[in-house]
Amino acid sequence: MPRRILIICHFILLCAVALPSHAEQGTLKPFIPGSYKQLEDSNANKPFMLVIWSITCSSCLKDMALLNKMHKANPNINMVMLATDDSSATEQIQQILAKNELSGIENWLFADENPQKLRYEIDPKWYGELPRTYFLNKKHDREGISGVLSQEDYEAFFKKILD
Amino acid sequence: MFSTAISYVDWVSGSLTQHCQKVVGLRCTNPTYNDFSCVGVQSIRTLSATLLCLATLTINGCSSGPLLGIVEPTKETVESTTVAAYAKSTFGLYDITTFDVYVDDDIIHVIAGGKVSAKDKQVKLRYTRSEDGGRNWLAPVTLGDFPTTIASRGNDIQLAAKGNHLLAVWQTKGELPGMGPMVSAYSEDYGFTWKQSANPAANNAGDQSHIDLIADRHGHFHAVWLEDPEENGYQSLRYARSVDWGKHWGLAATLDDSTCSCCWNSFALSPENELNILYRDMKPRDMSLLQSSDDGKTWRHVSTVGEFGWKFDGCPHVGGSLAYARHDNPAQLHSLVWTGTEGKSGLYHLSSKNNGANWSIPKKLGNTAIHGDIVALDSDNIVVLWDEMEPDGASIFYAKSKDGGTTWLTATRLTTASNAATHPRLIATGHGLLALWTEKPSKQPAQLAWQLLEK
Repeated sequence: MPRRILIICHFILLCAVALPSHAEQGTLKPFIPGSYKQLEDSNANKPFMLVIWSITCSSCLKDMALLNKMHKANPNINMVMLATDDSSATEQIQQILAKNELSGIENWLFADENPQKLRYEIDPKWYGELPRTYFLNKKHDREGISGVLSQEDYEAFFKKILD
Repeated sequence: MFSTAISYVDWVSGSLTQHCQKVVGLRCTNPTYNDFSCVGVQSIRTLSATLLCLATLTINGCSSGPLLGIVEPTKETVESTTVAAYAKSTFGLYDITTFDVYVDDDIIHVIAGGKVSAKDKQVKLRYTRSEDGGRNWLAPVTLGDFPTTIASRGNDIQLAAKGNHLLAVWQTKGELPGMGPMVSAYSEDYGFTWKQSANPAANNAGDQSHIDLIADRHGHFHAVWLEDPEENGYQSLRYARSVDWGKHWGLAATLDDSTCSCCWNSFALSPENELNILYRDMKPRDMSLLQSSDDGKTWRHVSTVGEFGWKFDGCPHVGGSLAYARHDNPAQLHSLVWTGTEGKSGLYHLSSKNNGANWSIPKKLGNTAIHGDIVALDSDNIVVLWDEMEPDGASIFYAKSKDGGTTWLTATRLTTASNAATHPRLIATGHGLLALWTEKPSKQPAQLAWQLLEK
């Protein structure tokens, strides 16, 4: 009997260790035609930030640590991330998100055969350069910025969309 | 001496698409194909061709007549609802994720990579060529068991050829996601067999990507690529030369220690055998031109091609293209460059009358054009090809100029947006013009598509 209790305790301990790391993997929601509208709907009357990135964008990867910092420092801003890679990159995306402690936020992944169509739906004026960040106020008036942003940039845009 | 039968099969015709009612038809022909004489390491080989079914398209144009003179085309100039028929194939693979095309002595060489099956994670490589401008193609040759490639459109596998010598270089997997060293393979028998050769870089450390290759008039192969030995996102432009058909490489040189990290580089060889490299610089993110007149021993910065002054810290994923106006004007150079400069975003044509030292005022092509390629048939006749964003996806267009790029005729649509066509390439041979691109129509794997264009 004590042996069985020991095994159960051991199992519970293993689960306790394993669960958080599994949770770190996070969920990648499939971004398909209509998903941008869905994003706006789910953030109705709320400001939010959409960060578009890719595993092939080295500048995006360099930006991740600051994104994590900004996320932690600004819990009142909903941060959403969208990877423009395809599903074959899922494992790599999850690794990068986990490494930068960004698995816990809302993460999406391009999941349509026609990625150009998805890009156009998000913004007809966006050519695909990365990173691309959209800041939306509660009315969802938005500003799209291409390129890596500094902490000062983020703070300025946060202030703008919260006003 | 032995004979090898070369099969020309109907792998093209099986995937022909028809979008236009005016397509006359598809027929099988049996033209004479050259015998090859190859002096290699082992022996002299004579390859006699057994020709099987060949697909030949006769296309009755669907485009509207030419309209002169556009600097920044309005939407009307590229609007066209019908497209002509074109050929496409997966080379016998499940899909096509990367390809390159190279012309040597009027022979079109193509290398492409893709998965063998939908669930396959490894990318296999296949090679083919055409000696009649893209009408007929050799049955694809599978490259053996080489390290897989992580190449994708925009960071494609690269190919160069000189006579019977071919060289392919691609990026393979490394320790970190999306990064890895180069792998090189050469052929001495017109692409029938391939062997792994040395990495053009000094070692396999870090990230080595966005490669381009060219063979010069002396048969020397040149490689340029972006290298990030520390894998920290800070790339430099590297170059190496091989004088033994790509088997070994000289010491790699750093041509620029700070460049954009994700845009393709482009070689061009002048009629005087000068080497040119077009690449995206770091600050500003405009396209820079390097030139070497001594077989790659020394390089000099010649100019910025399109001085937009684009300040950007990110990844555009778009390089440029360069083309000489051939022998009737050896100093005339043409280029396509893309910029994301606020208010000026788009694809631009520029020309130079003094071998790249100075450039004309940039002229925008298309409305939302991104990736482009250019061919100069002579001093006056220039052809450009690009993909352009539309609500249903990206489409391929081409346009001609008959006055050296001063004005452009109405752009012609080659694909519909729903086919998600991207990263087109354009080449010219004595047989005509050939446009190639990849596309992924709904519920179909990505394929290589091509179309012969009238000069």
